[in-house]
Amino acid sequence: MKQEKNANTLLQIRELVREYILPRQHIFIPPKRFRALDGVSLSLNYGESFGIVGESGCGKSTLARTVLALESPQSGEVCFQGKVLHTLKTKDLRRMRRGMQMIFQDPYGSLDPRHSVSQIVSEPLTLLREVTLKIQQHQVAEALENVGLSPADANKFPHEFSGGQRQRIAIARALITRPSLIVADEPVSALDVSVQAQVLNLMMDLREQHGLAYLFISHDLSIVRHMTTNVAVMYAGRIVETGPTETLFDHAQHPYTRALLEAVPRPDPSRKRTGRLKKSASTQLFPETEGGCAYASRCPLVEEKCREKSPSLLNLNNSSAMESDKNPAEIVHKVACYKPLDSVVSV
Amino acid sequence: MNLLTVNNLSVRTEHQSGPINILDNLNFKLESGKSLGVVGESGCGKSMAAFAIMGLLPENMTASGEVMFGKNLLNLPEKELCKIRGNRISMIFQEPMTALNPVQPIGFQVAESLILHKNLSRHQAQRQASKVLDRVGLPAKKFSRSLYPHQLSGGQRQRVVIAIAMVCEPELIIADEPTTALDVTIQEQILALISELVIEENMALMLITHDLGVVAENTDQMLVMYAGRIVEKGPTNKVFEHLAHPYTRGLFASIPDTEKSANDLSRHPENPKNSRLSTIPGRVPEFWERTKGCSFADRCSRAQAKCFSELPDETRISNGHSAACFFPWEQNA
Repeated sequence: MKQEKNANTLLQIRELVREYILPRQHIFIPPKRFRALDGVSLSLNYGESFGIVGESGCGKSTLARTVLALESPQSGEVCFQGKVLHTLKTKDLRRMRRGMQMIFQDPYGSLDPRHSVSQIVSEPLTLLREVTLKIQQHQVAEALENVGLSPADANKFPHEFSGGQRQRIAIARALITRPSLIVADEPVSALDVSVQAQVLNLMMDLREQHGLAYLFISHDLSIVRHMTTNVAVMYAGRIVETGPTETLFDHAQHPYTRALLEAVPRPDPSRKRTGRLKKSASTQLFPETEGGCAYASRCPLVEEKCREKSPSLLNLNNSSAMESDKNPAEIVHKVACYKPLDSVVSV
Repeated sequence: MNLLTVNNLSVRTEHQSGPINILDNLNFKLESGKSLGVVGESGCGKSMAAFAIMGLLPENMTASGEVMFGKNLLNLPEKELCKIRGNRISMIFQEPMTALNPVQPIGFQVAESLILHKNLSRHQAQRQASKVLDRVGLPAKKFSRSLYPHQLSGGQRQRVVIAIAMVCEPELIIADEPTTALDVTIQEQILALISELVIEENMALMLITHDLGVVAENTDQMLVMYAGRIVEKGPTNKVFEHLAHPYTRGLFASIPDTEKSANDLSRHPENPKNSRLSTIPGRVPEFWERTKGCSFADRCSRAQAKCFSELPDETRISNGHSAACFFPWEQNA
């Protein structure tokens, strides 16, 4: 198996497909299916952080849920620490789950208001039924200190904390089982800018201290750039471009990635928007396509070919393809487009 | 000519600990045809300022000071205000799903204010409304006027809200976080649309946001608010050229940059080993925790004894640019 070849790989996702069945429109017509994930593959090493970017509805959160085995895929597999998750028995799966934890977007919705901080943070341990109550309390105190709260906060309730502190509690809860992977689904988008930076710094520090790997999902490109070493851009359930963060951001090849990067407002008044953009023709985010590239109807460089067959994710140059054959864990810059933009021509 | 002049606007409410000021002596002006950005974190009072101008404050709050829009809006009876709201001043709200009526078709929702303010017949109003919907990028061919909000996407709904706001050709549009609920590419389209309409119709725009990038790209003048007060104001390009208030500077430094990498030395010269963002320690004080000195003092690296006891006045930085700080930063390093 592949994971034996490379002991460094923590998470390997292969050709993941997840479909949802839409409500039936007519009793004699089979219901339509919506492909939230359409053949997504990626791999993540121990201690690494991998960013997933894309607009709402592109399948980022479905990916997160499938990785954590909260959803089962129609085809494809998720390998975590060498085991295929969706074939495990419930009992074994539960044991695997201690290695992966999640931080949710909304720190107000993800903490039970009737539970004390100590109950919230120790809940994963309680469910694992492995340690005594006394050890649990000790570990709670340790986890709270780890995230910059005081052990005395354990007896307080979530409403006594601000948004940033609540997100710290959520992080403490994720840390307590000593996971090797944390899936963070938009962990700071509900926080104010000045608090956001504190939480991001904390996440970076914890990564160094505990050797955590992050699957970092966000729509905010600047945060992803700051936090991750590798990144994948998703559009309509597919990865359209992936590679090392620096390379991808500096030499974006896919027209969609380019559009995303250009759309981010920057604190620079000389970059006035007026007149830069014409009234956009396409207001539909993910138009239905028959076979072709999902981005074709929004793409400025669309060709006949794009509408017929969807491009596959290919390495940008052949030399790096050779390297990647030697070392499957190394991430190379790949793009799913027939006409990748030339990085030399770009500004 | 100044279209809107706000003098010493304060908003008070009663709290367990006694009366408190949600907004404290706001002063600013907006010329017709210009745009003003208001930036700040949640709870700093930027939306409250908009509500106070529109006369939409919750019942337990009272506004004092002056909001001059021809007349002082704060003294106008409700009946007079109704004639101005939606007609001469209109608002674009943050969450298009709650701003729209789910049980009325979009064509009627846009036409409604025409019937109300311009005395048009239902039929005339619908026709006029249809034209405005064309303008905001919802052509009648593709988007029937009898569609309901739930049949549209987030960006399309926001376009309807914009159509409602501009259908009476107001002199001032207040946009309260118009794009926070939207994706970046849609945000770009919506902001471009607003800027375009504002320029074509010569309307004034007050754009409230938490995103410094949005303000930089879309406004002429800007205000930075913190804990109910204006801490820095001036022409947008001058403010960005020289961030004078420690809070503005902290806010600016805590945004990760898409263009420059974390390893870029020029951005964090004091921290060459990358990875850490500069932060503002502590958190925004709740409004009942505000002290009599500068409310930013206990998070500020430049604070001295004076900052905790006295409220700083506006210090002039350059022409039109001022910061409410005793020790503003001299020049951008």
